[in-house]
Amino acid sequence: MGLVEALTKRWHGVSHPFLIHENQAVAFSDLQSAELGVLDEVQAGDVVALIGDFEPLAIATLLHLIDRQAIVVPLTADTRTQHPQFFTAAQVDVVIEGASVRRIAHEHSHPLIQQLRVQQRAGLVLFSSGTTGQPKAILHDLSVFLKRFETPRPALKTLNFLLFDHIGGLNTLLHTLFNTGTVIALKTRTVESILEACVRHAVEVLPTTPTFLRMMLMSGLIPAHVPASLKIITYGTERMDQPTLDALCAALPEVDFRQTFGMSELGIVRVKSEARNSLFMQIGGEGVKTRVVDGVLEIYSETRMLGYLNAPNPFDNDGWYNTKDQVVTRNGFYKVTGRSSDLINVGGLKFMASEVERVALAYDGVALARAEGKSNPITGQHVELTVEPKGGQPLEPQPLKDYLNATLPAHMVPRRLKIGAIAVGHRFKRL
Amino acid sequence: MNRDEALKIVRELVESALNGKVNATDEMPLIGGASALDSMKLVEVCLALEDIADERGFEFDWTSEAAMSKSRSMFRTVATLAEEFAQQSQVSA
Repeated sequence: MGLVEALTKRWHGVSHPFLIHENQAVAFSDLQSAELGVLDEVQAGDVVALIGDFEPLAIATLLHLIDRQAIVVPLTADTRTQHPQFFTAAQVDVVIEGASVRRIAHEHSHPLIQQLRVQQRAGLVLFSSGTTGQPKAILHDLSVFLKRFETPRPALKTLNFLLFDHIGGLNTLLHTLFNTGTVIALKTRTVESILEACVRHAVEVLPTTPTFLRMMLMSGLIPAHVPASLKIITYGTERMDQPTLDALCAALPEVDFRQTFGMSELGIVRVKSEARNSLFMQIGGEGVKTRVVDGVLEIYSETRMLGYLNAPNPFDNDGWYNTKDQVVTRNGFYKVTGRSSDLINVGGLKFMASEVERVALAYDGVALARAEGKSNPITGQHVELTVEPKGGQPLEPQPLKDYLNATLPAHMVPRRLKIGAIAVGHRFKRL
Repeated sequence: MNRDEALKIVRELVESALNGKVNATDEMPLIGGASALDSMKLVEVCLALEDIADERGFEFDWTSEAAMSKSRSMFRTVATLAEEFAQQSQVSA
């Protein structure tokens, strides 16, 4: 049975909409009446870049492409300048945007794509949001990827904060479709518009990133503009700090805060927070195993990707993946303390950039902080810190320097302090 | 920038790093047991030189592989660091 047919059966007799897009309710049956002439251009095994968002036409196209055994590359207009690079890396054959379709001629044929074609299976290509180097093209076998959604689970009214090109965004969409829930999709993703949508549509689950939650705290809109319907706020894709989580828990005592841990390379893994105010989490789920090697978390997942299309295979011979996340363990729960690549070594004393950032974020007037280790010939490395003031207000450097000097051990004190904007990408992560 | 100007800048930065408690002489050592500066303070002096160079339109390179190879002589005394700073300003000019 195809995906569209299976979902049609699940939605038979369900009256509520599956999607609220730009304040318009969309029933699942509306997807079936979508005009999908673009599909005539697609053959089984084609790599298809689908540029869109969580809009009815793009969702209908996505589902039908899966049934056609295409290898789908979901992209958003936000990353348009990178599209030529993405098309090359994913070896895209066809580009679909709305009702337009075009074919790209090329001579490439990656063995992993070829493998899917031979097996007559649909695929999915996602791109890592790597801040350094080229984004990696992550290829999944969709028949494996979709398996986890077959187990029925409760579906709450969820705002799709994460995007069409992100594993978390696709996870929310597919979870909602398989479990007959409702997903609310927005075009603008400002704090104001998201909280307004939560009120208007009585949203129950809000998936976010720590960067977004820091912006929400600073906005002055919480708790007054958070509806009583909101039960769960999830956060993931980058490291959360304890002071921000504490402030959120205090401001929104009725909301359950849950950490997520998705890595596009591994598929979705199930995560359970130790408590709403704890950064410790349990990672598991069907076919998922974890272990810690030299303080770094490694994960084995049966739903892992087939491989990268433009980089070497990152798994060891037994299928374990080094997450590069430094963790501490407590009663079977892990807490991420930083990335192993964020390790700074000053004169032989090692620490994580996040420890400096955590202290900087606790200073009144600091909205965002980024600490980096810079090489020098005297101490090996030293710390340089960039901070973004709250709400564009002026921030005097000397009192902040005095505070950092008084709070941090000497080797961790930033030797250069810059005050300025810290870029936040289209996925609400610091760049 | 000539050597004297560079010397004045480096002396001021070293004195500032030592909170004005010491008068920096040309022959004052910057590294080793006899130095009044600790290594982190020396890093701060170099970063300040980077900033001054930036304001004056040249790059002060003290971290590249090429710079590292001469770092032992560059950081020997106030005078050797000033000489290197002046020289780099002239090369870039």
